[in-house]
Amino acid sequence: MEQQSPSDTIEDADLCGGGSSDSQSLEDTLSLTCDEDNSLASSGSDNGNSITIDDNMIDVDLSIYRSPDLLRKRLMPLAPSPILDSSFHSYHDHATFDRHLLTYTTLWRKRSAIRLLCFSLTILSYVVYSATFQALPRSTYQPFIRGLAASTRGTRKLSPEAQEWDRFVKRKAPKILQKLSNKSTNIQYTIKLKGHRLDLVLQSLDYHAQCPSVKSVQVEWNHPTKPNIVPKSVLKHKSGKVTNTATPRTSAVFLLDEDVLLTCEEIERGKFATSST
Amino acid sequence: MQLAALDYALHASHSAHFCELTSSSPSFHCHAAFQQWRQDPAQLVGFYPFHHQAKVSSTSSSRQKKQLELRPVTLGQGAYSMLSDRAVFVHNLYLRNLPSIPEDKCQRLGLSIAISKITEKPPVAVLSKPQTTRQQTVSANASRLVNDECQEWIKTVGSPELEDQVATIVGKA
Repeated sequence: MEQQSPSDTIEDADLCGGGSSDSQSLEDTLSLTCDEDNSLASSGSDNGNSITIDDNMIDVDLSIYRSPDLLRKRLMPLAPSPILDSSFHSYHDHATFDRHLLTYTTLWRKRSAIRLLCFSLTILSYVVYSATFQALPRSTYQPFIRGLAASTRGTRKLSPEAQEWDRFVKRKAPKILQKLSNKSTNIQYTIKLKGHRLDLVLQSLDYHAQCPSVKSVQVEWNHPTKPNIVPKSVLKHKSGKVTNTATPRTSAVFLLDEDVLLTCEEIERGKFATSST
Repeated sequence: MQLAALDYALHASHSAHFCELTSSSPSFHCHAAFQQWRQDPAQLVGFYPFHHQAKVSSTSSSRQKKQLELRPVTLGQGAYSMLSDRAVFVHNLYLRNLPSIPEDKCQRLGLSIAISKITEKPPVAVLSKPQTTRQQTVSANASRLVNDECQEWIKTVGSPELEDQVATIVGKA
C-alpha cells in the first residue's frame, strides 16, 4: 500500500474537473480517464483510504485479460462457451499429453517397421526378377508375358480384320504348324508366276520351266485392264507345264515375279529348305 | 503408327557371318545352315531380304513419330529380318489358309510379316544375285519408310518378334 500526499490529489482534481477554462478542451477529450480516476478516488474515500490502490484488484483484472474465456464469461456470463472444456483441459493436462505422445511414438515405430518391410520386399522382388530373367532363356517366360499382353489387349475393341487375324493366329496357325512339322512334302514344286507383260512372262517360262523339279507353273495375270485373263500363248507354252488351276498341287510353292530370273541351281537351294521329309 | 505397335524386337543382332557356298567348294558353315533350312518347311525362304529399323522422326518438339524403315540387304550389308515375296518359297498351307494380305501395302513384305507372326521365327534368306529383266525406277538399295497403310496393317496383324538373322550367300558371289 502506498500513500499519496493531499497536494498530489488536489492537483489531479484540478487537472480533471475544477481547473481553469483553458483546460476545458483537454478535459473533454480525457473525460473517460478522469471519470475512472474519480471513481477510484471516490471508492477510496468510501473505505476511508482515498489515496490507496488495491493490488489484488489489479491482479484480478490482469488475469481476466490473460484468458479470453474468462473475459468472455465476465462479459457474457449466460452465453455458452465456444471452447470445449475437455479439450481445453486435455491440452493443459500433462498426463494426457504424455499419453498422446506415447501413442504417436508407437505409431511412428510401427510405420517405420512397415516401411522397412516394404523396402525389403522391393529389394527381394528386384533380386528375384533380375535373377530369373537373366538366368532363364527368353523363350521360357515370353509366352507368359505375351499372354498377359493379350489379356490386356482383349479388353480393347478390335477391327474385323484384326479379329480375323487374331482368330487365325490362335486357332488355325497351331494346326498348320503341327501339320508342317509332321507331314512330308513332295520333291517337286509349283511356280506361281505373277505378271502382266507377255514378253517377260514368256521369257520367265522359258527360263524356269526347264528346271527338273518344277512340276507345274501357274500364271497369275494381274494386268490392270484385263485381270485374270491369261493369254493363250502363255497357257499353251511349249514346256506343257502351265496350268490354269487355282490351287497348287504341291506342298512347296515358289512365288515369282515376271522380271526375276534365277538359275535352277539357285532355286533348288531355296527349294530344299522347304521340302523337308 | 503408334510406338508400341512398331516396337519390334530389335534384339542384339548376330554379327554378320557371310559364307560362300559354291557348287565346287561348299564350306562347312553354309552346309550346316543348308541342312537347318531343310528341317523347317514352315519358314519362308526367299531371295530378297530386308532389314527393318524403327526410325524416330521428330515432326514437332512435343510429339515424335516412329516409322518403320526398310533397307534391302545385299552383299556385305549385314543382318536381315524380312523377305520380299518377289521370289520366295512358301508352303501351300499358308497360301490356302492365310487371311487376305493386301497387295503392295508393305512393299511385298506382308507375307513375310504374317508368317513370322505365326512361326515366331524370322525367314530364311538366300543371298544371291537374281537377274532382273525390268529396270527399276527407284534404286534397289535405297532405304524406304513404309507408308501409313502398311503400318496400320502391321498393327492389325500384330508386330511379330523378328530377330535379325545371319545372311547366307548361296551361289557364286
